Amino acid sequence: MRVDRARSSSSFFFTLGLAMSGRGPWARLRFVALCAGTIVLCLGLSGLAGTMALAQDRAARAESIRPTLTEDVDQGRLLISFDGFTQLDDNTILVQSIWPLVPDAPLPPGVSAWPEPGEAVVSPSVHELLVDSDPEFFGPVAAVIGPDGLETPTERRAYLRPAAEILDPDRMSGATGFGEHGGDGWHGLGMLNAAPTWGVLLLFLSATIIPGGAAVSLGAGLDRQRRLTRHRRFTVAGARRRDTSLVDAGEAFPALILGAGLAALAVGMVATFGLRLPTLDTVVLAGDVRRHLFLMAGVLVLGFIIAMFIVVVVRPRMLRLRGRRRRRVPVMAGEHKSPAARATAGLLIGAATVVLPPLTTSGPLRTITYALGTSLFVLCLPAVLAVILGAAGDGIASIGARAGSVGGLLGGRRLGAFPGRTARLCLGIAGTILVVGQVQLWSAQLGRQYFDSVALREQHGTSLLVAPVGAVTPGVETFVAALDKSTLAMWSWFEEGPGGMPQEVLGASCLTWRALALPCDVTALTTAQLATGPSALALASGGMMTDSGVPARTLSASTPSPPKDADALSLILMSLDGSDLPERQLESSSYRLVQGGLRLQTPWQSWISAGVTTKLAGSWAVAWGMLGVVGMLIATALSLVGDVISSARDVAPLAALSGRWRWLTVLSLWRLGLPITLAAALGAVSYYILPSGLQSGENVMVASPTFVVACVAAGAAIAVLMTVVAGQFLSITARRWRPGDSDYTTV
Amino acid sequence: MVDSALALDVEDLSVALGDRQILTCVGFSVCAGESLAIVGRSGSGKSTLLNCILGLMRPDSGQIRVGGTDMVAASSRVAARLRREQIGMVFQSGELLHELSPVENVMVSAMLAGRRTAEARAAAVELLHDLGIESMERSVSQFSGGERQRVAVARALVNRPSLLLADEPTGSLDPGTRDMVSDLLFDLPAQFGCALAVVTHDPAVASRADQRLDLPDHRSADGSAGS
Repeated sequence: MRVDRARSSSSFFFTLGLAMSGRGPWARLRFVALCAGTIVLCLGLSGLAGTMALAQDRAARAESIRPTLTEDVDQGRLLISFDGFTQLDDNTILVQSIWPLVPDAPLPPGVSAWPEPGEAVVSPSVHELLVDSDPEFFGPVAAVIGPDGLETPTERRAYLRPAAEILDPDRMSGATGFGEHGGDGWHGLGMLNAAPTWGVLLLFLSATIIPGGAAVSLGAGLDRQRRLTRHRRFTVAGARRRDTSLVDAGEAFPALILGAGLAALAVGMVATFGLRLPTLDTVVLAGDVRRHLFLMAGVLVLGFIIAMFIVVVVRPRMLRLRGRRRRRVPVMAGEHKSPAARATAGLLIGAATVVLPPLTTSGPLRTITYALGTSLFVLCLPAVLAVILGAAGDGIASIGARAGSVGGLLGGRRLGAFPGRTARLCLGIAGTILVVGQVQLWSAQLGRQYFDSVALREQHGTSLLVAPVGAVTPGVETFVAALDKSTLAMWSWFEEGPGGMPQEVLGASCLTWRALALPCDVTALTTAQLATGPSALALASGGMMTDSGVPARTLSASTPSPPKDADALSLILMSLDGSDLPERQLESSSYRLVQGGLRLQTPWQSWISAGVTTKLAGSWAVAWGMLGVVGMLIATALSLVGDVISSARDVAPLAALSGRWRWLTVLSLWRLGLPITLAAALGAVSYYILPSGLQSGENVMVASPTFVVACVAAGAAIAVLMTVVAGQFLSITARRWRPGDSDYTTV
Repeated sequence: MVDSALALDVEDLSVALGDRQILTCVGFSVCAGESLAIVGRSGSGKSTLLNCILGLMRPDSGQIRVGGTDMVAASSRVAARLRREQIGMVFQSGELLHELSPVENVMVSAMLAGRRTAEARAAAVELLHDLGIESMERSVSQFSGGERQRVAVARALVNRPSLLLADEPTGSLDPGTRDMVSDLLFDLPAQFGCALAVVTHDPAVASRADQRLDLPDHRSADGSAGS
């Protein structure tokens, strides 16, 4: 009986909360804020769980794709070679050569049939690249690799079956198959470029999960005073804390369940149709998501539970703690002083964060200076915002008074009168943008080499190409012999130098030296000696020589080839007049002559390709971070709408008696539209400017202009929307106002 | 024939809300320079009458003329213009905007009536000065109840209305302040040439008026109002 009574009282309080959930304008604002926060929270958790689960799948698939190498000639069923990574439009492609040794030789996963000699099998992403540029770059494409044979759906991978006449079994390894015993061959780019687990966790936590939770908390705090009064009344009537929590739970339930439901719908869409994000170089296959549907469902339920926990436990506890602190802590002298001093300190700290790092040569010190400066700046941000909003309010009021704008006058005065609370709310927006921005900045740090390489590409284009060459095969000799006369060929390799240390050596024919205005018996190349023509400049820029000189060897005119036992041999191609070499055409022709081809690239290409990968990580942070930023923007904007609503009673008589309504929207614009836009702009601009001191040095933090524009645009859009909503609310309230009404704010 | 000095003329006004008759054949008139006290118990229809006079509610029958213009037949735009130009209103608790200074509170009313800022400011300063408010740039939140009502009166008068309505203007004041505000209000018709209609519970305030309108309590018995 006792249990039944408890159950029935629980259901009573929960139902009571449910009934209260849709009443009044506050309830609607709260509903939207809670719903938006729950969507962000649930999507963040789903994204994290999905990314982790797909990473596990990727690791398992990567193991199944790795070739199982064998040194036992009798056991080998196919030959395979790792030919390295080539580039097409800055996209890195793994190139491997394969050759069956037995009729039933195992095929690479995802490949349904052996290509004919001279043909290639490529992944869908490579196929897309080839279709747009040179469909027969690797030779005729026989088929496209299926998803089972790729570490990630967008992995760029090519299997080449060399023509019989260029087959060089000595440069290939024997393999028994793929993925047996875990495989012992090489991994592809899916694994090599995989983000570390802690990085993924940090991204989702800071970009979506924490902002989502904060948005739920903000939503739960809306209409705080009325709900506190209600709690007190319930408590006086004999209700326990559990009962009031049930009322809270019932009140929040529809919003949270809708938020979780909409997040589930988004996950369901991905599980049904998959997801293609070309700008993020990402494809999520529907089947991959469906494999983890139970996990995703569990995570969505967890998101709902966390949101409910925030509403029922965390937020009320925060309010109680705040109330206790207010009662216990006496007002300190100076507490109500202008925040101008702290704001000034904040601006000075911001300036120091920009100015100081370039003054030190120590990389770690620069990073510490930036991290410390940014953290201190964030601490001062509420004061900075309060000062800006206060000044803006005074300015708007003054202009409004002069221009005869009642909305401007009152909006400005209200903005100036409440900068503290408004600033705290705006801090949520600016702070979230700054925090998400930090994730992007730290995850997309680029080395100095990337920028130098981009500059070198701008300067020299493809006038200098380098390809590692395993051995000088007849195919390589044919390739070099077929080069255009305006293309100079050189070789670099390592020899034992003084003291037994390996030293790089450059070798070329006498004709080549002469083309470079050097004598045939040149013994060393120095930067000064060669820095005369465009090709020489490119050589110097590519690091092919030093100021102290690189030993030079003159190769035989008839067969200008390096020694057979040359170590780490590379072929260097230069255009004599500094014009661009046909990089793609040259490399494509190499696949017809040399097994596995020659990966002819500029010396700086690998840094650029690595930079592209790093930038993608930053783009991911921006994409997920925008979700969190938008969630926080909505929740904060709704809190400010709540502030405007609470003042509706004051302005309603004026509007009703005058019959003028437009000024109410103007009032909302200055009271909430401006702070939201300012906060978003301040957060975005701070994010953009603060790391500008790290634009030099070894590691460079590159802020994303897209993120800045997206944050400001989202802030402005939400500000406009909320201005209209609040203006409409004020207008409706004013139209309903009648003298003597005690409560007319229920719309 | 409309008397030009007639600021407010109400004839045979009846209002029912659902089955409940709120006002039945109410009629009275107030000329410029005169005052009227509207007295009645809670629920007697005082607020309904105010709403009808302000054009915020349409009566079931009867006529209301404000400065000669028929408020019942007026469109919402004309009614709003009449409220801005012909009617001033004082509330029980002033309904001032606390973020604004007294001058700004008064100016706002003039600005909403379409007056230029400089003109509105000058009028506000002059009125506040006339009503004994000296600290014009201090926040009204620091003002006493009496001072606030004086600012509210200035706001109601800034557009030089022909009719001043006051809804329980002394309801939240102590006796001393109540007398002071009453003195102020009942001096206004003579001082500014407007008519004054005061809705009040307070017999002492009502007794100061030139006329008195007692609204019967329709919850206990039906009856008609008379002056």
